[in-house]
Formats: sequence, structure tokens, C-alpha cells
Amino acid sequence: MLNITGSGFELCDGLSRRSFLKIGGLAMGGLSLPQLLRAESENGIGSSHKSVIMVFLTGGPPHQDMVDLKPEAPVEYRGEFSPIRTNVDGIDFCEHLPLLAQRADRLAVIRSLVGSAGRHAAYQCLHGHPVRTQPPGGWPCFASAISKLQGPVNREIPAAVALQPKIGGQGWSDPGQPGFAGMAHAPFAPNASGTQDLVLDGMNLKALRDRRELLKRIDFLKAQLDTSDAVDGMDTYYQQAFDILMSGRLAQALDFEQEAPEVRARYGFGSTEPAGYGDAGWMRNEDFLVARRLVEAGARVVTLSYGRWDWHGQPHGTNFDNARDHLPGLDQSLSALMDDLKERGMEDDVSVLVWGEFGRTPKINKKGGRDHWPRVGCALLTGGGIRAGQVIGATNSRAEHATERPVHFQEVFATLYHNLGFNVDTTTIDDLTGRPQYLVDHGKYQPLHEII
Amino acid sequence: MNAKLVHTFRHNNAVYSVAFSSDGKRLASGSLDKSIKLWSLPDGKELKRLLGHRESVCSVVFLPGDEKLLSASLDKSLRVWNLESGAAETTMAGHSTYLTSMAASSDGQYAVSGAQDNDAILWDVAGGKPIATLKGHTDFVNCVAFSPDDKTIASAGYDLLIRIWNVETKTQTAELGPHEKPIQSVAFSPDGKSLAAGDDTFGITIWNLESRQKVATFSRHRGSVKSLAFSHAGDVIASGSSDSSIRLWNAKTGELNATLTGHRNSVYDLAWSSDDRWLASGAFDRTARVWEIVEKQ
Repeated sequence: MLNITGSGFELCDGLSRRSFLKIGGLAMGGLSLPQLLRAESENGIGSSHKSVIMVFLTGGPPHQDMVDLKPEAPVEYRGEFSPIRTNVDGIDFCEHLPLLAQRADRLAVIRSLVGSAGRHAAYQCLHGHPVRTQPPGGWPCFASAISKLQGPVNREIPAAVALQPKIGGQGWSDPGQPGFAGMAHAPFAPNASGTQDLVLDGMNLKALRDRRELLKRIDFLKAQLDTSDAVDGMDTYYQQAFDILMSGRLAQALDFEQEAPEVRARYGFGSTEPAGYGDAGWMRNEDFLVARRLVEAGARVVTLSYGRWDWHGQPHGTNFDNARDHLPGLDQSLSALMDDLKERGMEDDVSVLVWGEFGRTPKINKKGGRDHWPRVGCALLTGGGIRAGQVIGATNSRAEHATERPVHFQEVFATLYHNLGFNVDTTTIDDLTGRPQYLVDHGKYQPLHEII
Repeated sequence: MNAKLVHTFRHNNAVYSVAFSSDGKRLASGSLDKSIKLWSLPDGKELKRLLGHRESVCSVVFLPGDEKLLSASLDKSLRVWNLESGAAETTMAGHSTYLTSMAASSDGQYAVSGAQDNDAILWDVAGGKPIATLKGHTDFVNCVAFSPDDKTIASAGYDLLIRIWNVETKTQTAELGPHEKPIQSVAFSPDGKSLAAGDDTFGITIWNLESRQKVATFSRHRGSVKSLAFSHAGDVIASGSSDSSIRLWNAKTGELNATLTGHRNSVYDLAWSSDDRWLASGAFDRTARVWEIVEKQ
């Protein structure tokens, strides 16, 4: 956040510098942008560019209604949807994922995701580890680990950006914690406190699009600062934060409205309104576009959450009502992202992962819902140079448990680390006691050999 | 018979309920987004937004005179809204868990609500208090309806039975069923002689209330029948389904006269305008729609 007071801006009226120039407050695990920059500097992080986009389907998506349909199962298991053929022989998707079905040759479909702790939170989808076995300082989320290992690509875009909105359920809106990687590596979370905080003299992000007006205000500000020598005394990191925001690159990357209308239309138009009942986050297709803009601008890891997938049934709509509501949006936005990355020559450099904290009960409950099912779930991977067009693993006839090739969360993260160039057998980050910690459980989990 | 779509009104989430004012100049829509919106007809402008419910609004009904609106919400309350001021004048609470359905008597004196606490509650709307709890269901109550003469209530749900209640004595007088699967919707015919019930078998059963026998079954939907509404003339039954369609049936012959497509998700409520010229629908696709009946046989 950059927050500069309005027309009454004066430098000699007794106001402290921070009362007229406040940069920070965008949530980064508790750090403001200047604090983050200071911490980065203190940790010797300077600035190759492979990247990852992780999409969290908040609440646990129904694996058997998306990419592992069981049309031969009894009616109380199989649900309302029919499978459709994809462009890969032998792989079927749900009828409500027709666009992804035509891109199955560029997807790796994990039908046997196991190891969920059953916790209704993003936690495990942020680094693969269970909450109970944390080393001193706590596990850093994947984005923070990458930030620690590689630092930012450039000084204008943070290495780790989390687009999750702030919602009631903190476990769901968790942007990822830096853990023992240190606060310098906390993801930059512009939506956690709202992009409305990116304010310059009353200007919001929308107004920032008006470059002429922006420059006018910046010129005014600089003139005021120059005459007052205020900047000279300003904390270096506040200056850097100021520079990041004034460069406009971050604001531009976040501002999807700068994109060509036809590109925006391909992603579809979402909403910042709650996507369901209770503590629902939003279902903003534009976040997929923002993620692409951010990795293009230099972000190494971008995380986002999409919708509310915790569908227990009436009176909040059946699992199938909600799936009809959510799946088309995911189908469109993810397909658009895949095509966009491909057309920009970024497909092999950007790994995209889509999943949730667990699957859902095989048997439909009496309210037309499906409940939590940690025993098995699903995940989609695309890009990053993987060998796509294949299914990994299988479940039994009712999608109750993995019957072939169970894949643990940490194996998926091991694959992402591999895609970014890290050997999980040798790469470590020191925890707060100075003890080296491997990125995934050492000797236990490896990248998915089928796709790397 | 056919119908053409004339308005699509949007909410931020699923639309669970729709109601016309008696003069047909306004439509109310209640949503999972907790709001009630009032729309002007025929121009389609949003007139007012009623905010205050803390959970999804599952039912809306204009009270006689059209100056007040009665709403029910999953927040377990009923509210009476002054449509001029937009303020809630009365709030009534009584259920112990999700309130899922509500209907009002034609004179606006009474309302009945059904809930996932297995109960139906009869309310004194003007007095703002419950009159009686109608106990008997052994599972969630999904749907309730008042008979045209306001003397009888029907309730139904997951216990597969339609229970008929006498408003004056507050006692159950009949039991229809069992259906094979949970009942999602009920509607009295305008002459009060029959009752339509839609369920998860995708069928619509017509019950003769005098003989208490099934007299017909309509089954062309490909999903649960979530909503039912007889036209005021009694010649057409409209049904809404989780197959996203609305079907218009000849109430006497059971012939399917029309299938209205356009919604993209389950159709949770239907309402006819008093002259039967318009049909309104509310669906999980976040829209309320108004259809004009353009050809009536």
C-alpha cells in the first residue's frame, strides 16, 4: 500500500513523515512492503525465470465430479454428471469441463492424491507438510521457500505473490506463511487487505490506469518531497517500496483491466462477491490473468484461490448445483491461462497446479451434498515442461480410494521444485535452529517420474 | 403454448425465490446472497434492495396491498418489510436450524415455514409471533404451501410424506405418500381439490385431496423437481428442475406444452403473475427471469 494524504498535504505542519507517506500495509505475513525489502536485503537476496502458478480450490473439490467420473457406479455414488471424451484417448472429464477436455493433451491428471491431513485449510496445499510436524519456525510455504532460494527476478516484482482474498475462514485465505525462511520471504498479498489500499492521494488501482493523472500527482509529490528533503531522511526501504510502486510495474501487473478486451473475454469475468455461503472467497476469473501478468513481470510463484468448493448440500445448493456454478468458470479461466501461456511462449517455463485440500465423499449425502474425503482427491498439472496428456493413478469403482499409484502432496511439490531446477535430494533451507531442512521429506518423496 | 424470455435479473448468488406483486408491476427476488431485490415491470429496473437477513433468503411473498413483503431466510427468521422505507418492521424467529421454505395465506394473516428441524411453524404475521409448531415430520421439511381457501397447509420433505394440516385446529388431517424419494416442492391447485408434488425421482405427482389418491404422474424432467406453480386459471402447471429447465404442463391432461430453456442451473422457484401473462423463475445460476406467455392454447 502506498498511502499519501489528500489535498491538505503539507510537510511542515507537524505531521510525521509516516503520517503523510505511508507505504506498506499490504499483507505479507505481517510485513509491509518496506519491511519486506529490508528483510530481503538483510538476508542477502539479490535477483533465471521459471515460475509456478498454484490454484487453490477452497474447501475441497469433488474429484469424482470433475476428472474421475464413475458412470458405472450406483446412482447414490455416481452423481448427476456425465463424462465426456477428451482429446486424449481413454481420458474422460466431466461434461462441465469441455474446454479443458480439449486441452487434456496438455494436462497431467492426478486421480490418486493421498496424504491429506483432512484439515479444512490451505495449509497442506501451500507446502505439502502436515501441520503437526513442524520444525522450529514452521514450514515455509512453497512460495516463500522459492523466494528464499532464488530471490526476486527483479526489484519491482516480489518473488512470491498471493492473490487470495481476505475472508472469514483464515485457514482458507492463508496466503502462505514464510516459516523458517524468514519474514523477508512472506508472499506479497495485495488482496488480503484489498487492492483499494494501493492508494495514492485518494487514487485507487482503477485511477492508476490513468497514467497522465498519475504522473501529474507523482510530479506534485516529488516536488513537495524535493523541497522538503523528506526523502533524504527516509528509510531506504521505504524508498525502495516507493520506487516499486512508482515504477508502476507491480500496479500494472495487478491491473488486469490493462489487458486487451479480447484477452479478458477469454478468461471470463468473475466477481469479488462471495462465491457461496458463509466464509466464501471470491470466484474472480481475472485472478488467472493477473497471475499470468505477474509471472510475466517477474514473480516466481503466484498463488490464488478460486470459489468455495465445500459443498455439503441443501439448503446451500446441492453439490451438483454448486458444481454447475463453479466448473464452467474454472474451465474457462484455466483453459484461457493455458492458451495464453502457450501463445506467449511461456508454457514450458510456467508450471500450473490446481487442487484442493481433499476430495469429497463418494456417497452423496441426503442433502445432495458430498462431505469431506481426505482419503483421496485429485490435482491437475500443466506447463512447466511436463509430459502431459496422461493420467496418474486410479481409484476404485466408487472413487473411494487410490488403487494405483497413490500420489502424496509432497510428491507434487517435489515436482514443482524440480520444474524450477531444484534437486529435492540435496537442496535445503536452514530452520531457526540452523538445522538444514529438506524441501520435502528426505528420501521419502520424489518428483513424479511419469511426467518430468 | 410457448413463452419468451423478457427479463434476466442478476444477483450475486443463487436466486431461491421470486414473487409478483398483485398488480404485476413489481417482482421480488430473494437470494443466497442474503438480499432481496425489487424489480420494476415491465421496464426491468431495480427499484430497491432489502438488506438485513444474515443468511440466504429462501422465500419472498408480497402481502395484500403490495405495501409490505414477507421474507424467510436460512437465518431462521421471517421478516416483514415496509417497501416504501425498505426497513424491516417485524422479525420473527422460532426454528432451531435452517429454515428452508415459507408460504403465506392469501389474506396475509398467516404464514407457515418449514425447516431442517423437521418442524413446520404457523405464524401470526400481523402479531409477529408463532401460533403453533406443526410436529409430525421425521426428517427435514423442504416445502410448504397454503391452500387457496387458507384453511389447509401442506408440508413435505425428506420423510417422503406430504402432511396436510388444518389451520384452525393446528392438527394433521391427512398424510399422502410415501413418495419414492425426497419431496422438493408442493403446490395446491387453485380449486383446492388437488396437490402437485415434485420429487427427486424427477417426477411430478398429482394427488386428489379428497380421495387421497395419486391421479397422475408427469415425468419428463431429467433432474429433481425443485419448484411447482399452478397458473391462477388452474390450466397450467409450471415446474422447475435441477435439469435447468422449466416445463409447462396441461394440468388436466398432463401433456407437456412447452419447455423453457435458458437457465444454467437448478430452478428453485416459480411464480405466475395474477393475470397469468408472466411467469417468473429463480435459479441457482444467480438469475431471476421473467417469461411472457406468448401463446396459450
